[in-house]
Amino acid sequence: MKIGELKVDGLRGCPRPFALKLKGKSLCLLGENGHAKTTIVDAAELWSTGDLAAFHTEGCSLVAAIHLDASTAMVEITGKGFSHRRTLTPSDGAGDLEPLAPASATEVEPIPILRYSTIAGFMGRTAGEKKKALLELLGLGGLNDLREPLKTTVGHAKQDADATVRQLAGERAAVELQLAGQQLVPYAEEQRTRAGLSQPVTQPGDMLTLKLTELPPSLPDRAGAVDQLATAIAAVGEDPATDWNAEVADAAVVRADGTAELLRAAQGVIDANDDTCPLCGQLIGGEELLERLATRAAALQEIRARMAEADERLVALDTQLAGVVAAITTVRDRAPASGWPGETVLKTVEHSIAEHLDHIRAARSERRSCPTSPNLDSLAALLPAFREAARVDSRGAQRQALVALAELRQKYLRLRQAEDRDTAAQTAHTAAKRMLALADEEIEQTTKAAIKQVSALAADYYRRLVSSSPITDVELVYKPARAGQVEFSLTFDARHHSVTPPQRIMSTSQMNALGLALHLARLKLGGQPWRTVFLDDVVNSFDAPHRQGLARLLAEEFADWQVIVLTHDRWFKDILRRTVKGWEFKDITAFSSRGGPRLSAGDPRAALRAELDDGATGMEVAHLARRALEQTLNTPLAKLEYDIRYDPDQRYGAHDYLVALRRGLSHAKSPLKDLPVLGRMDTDSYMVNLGVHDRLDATALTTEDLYRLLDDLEELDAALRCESCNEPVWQQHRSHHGGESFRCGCGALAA
Amino acid sequence: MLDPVSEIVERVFARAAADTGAAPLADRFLRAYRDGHWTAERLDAEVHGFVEAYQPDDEVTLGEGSGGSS
Repeated sequence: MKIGELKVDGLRGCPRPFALKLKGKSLCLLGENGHAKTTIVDAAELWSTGDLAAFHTEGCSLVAAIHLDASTAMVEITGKGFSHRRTLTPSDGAGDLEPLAPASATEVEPIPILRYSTIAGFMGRTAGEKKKALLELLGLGGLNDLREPLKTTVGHAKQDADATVRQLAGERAAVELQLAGQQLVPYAEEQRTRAGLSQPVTQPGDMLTLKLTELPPSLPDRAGAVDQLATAIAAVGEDPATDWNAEVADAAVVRADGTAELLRAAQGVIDANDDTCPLCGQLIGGEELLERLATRAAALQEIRARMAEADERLVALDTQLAGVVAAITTVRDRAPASGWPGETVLKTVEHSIAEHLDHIRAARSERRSCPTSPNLDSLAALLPAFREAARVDSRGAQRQALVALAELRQKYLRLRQAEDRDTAAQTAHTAAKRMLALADEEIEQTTKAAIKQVSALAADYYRRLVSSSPITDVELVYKPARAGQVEFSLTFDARHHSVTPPQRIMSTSQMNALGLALHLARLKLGGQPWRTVFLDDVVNSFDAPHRQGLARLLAEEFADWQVIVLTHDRWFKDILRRTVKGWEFKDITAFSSRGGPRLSAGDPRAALRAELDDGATGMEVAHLARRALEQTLNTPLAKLEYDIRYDPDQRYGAHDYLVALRRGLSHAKSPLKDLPVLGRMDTDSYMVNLGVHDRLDATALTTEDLYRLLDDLEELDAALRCESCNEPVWQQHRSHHGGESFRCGCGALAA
Repeated sequence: MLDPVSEIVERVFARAAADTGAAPLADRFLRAYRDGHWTAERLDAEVHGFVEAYQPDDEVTLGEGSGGSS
């Protein structure tokens, strides 16, 4: 596919319709900076891809490519078998390709475009980036699209897998913390037994089927027992033993006295009228004896009443202490698994009380003295500890066991889920990583095969671009490091081999030449339908030999291609003109912000006059004026073979040509050296330079200035022609008779 | 006839399906590719789908020191 015609309207530097008629031919389009050369390349890119890649890297929206004075941008490209238009609108962006002819192909491949920035950018990439870029270049960019999402997902899968490892470790630590060094099954079985559940735990999985809702048997009321004990202790009243013992002693005395009295009285009453006691002979009246008996009987009755009272208190004490013993027994029966605190005190007190109960009963039955009650203070002092023990145990060993089982089961369940999730995440990560490895293997094999082919051709092209370089054996080398890398390797000065990266020894120009060689080699190897390539300012860093090398390479290897060179470098254009065949050469002779670029392929003087007549301003056509001036001065200089100052880069301007022409004419003793028009051209050259460089602090170049320039150029041109035949003087034979003079072929003297 | 890139991609998936390590995700990823949704987001979703649907066939094992499980 080659381009027949390219039309662009409203895009970037082309505010108005601009057409480039190519007819499938190669073209060198010369234009100054800012004269819309790149717009033409962008038009080709937008047309064929629907996008402008540079706008993405520069962060612009595609719509920004629409010229400020236009509402939409349009590109039409036609050729043999295709004819399409693409329109860029602010609302819809780049639309689809719109066929302009019924038989047009439905799709087009991207037109190959090599820009200086593309090539320099490629060479400046890292080896890893070069691999990606090279795959794009080789039409295998889809492999990057295959790898990148896969690589991203592998990274995410790894993060997930790492997270599950951490989660699993956390869950495992939670279980192990509860187990406190025990093994899971024994621990769970112990808790299950304490909880009184029926289903045994013989393996970890049994944890998950335990019926924790199963009701446990009733728990002993330890707290209640302790409360009962406290009540029993509190119920023990004051010890009645002292009173009892006193009453017992009193009763004995009374009984003894009474008995003696009664005996005497009884002896005395043998004779009721006796005045003396029949036993002891003491005088005693019967009446007195009765009174004494009555007194003693009353005292004895009183003592008996008190005894009864003391006895009741002993009975009460007996009952109370028996209650304490019973409470102690209950408390002991309901001891927690760990036992009661101070349990020995409990036993001691219980034993003492039991002994004392025996004493009480004996004292009562035998009316003898009773020892004091055992001290219950030590027992009472333990009650708070008993209560706390009962409270702590109120959750109960059984309930505790149930809680422990429930907690363990929950933790175990989470642990299992964490392990399942971890296993799944690890499996997924492994699988994704393996898929990436497989993709990388295929990409590596493909890349190696591709670079092997392009590497040899690129090395050949580089050698031909830079013929005198000490750099040889250039090749692209694949390195498996990281995700795969591609880098140039070369030999330097026939001594240092496999030097890489090329930046170590290559200049910027050499690097760009190598990059250009690679890109041209890739095109040459085919793989896409276009036989058209745009070269946009690719010789920016090239010196004259490099430019010559490129021109020769294009002539030799791309003669059947449509090469469209866009350059501001007129010397490169000259080199191309001398080297390639069948090319078109055009200049962007004028550019204005409202009108865009204007082309001319013919005489710059004629073009300049046409532009001025068409209303162009002086500043808009300054570049064209400079070319007209330089061409008018350079032509006789070259034809008459006058010397010009040496410049290795051959960068000459109008002033150089003017000086050389004057010097040549003077050396030839030609009267033309004093032509007034040559003097005016100094001014013309100065004014044109002002216009070209567009200096804000200088007077603007006017159309009047340029019309005067055209008059001067035509006057000089006329002065260098034969007055008879009007042929240029360099068409005439040189006569060496009588000094340097021009002799017209028609026989008349031109000057 | 497949373009070179598609050929390589099909080869990758064919190898993945036969590869023990890659097989668990091969089908899911291939579906994403054929759906034209070969993006990291879709692949992430496929990985998550695999993890969610994962059915373990073995029991949990506790670490050193805890023991007592199969």
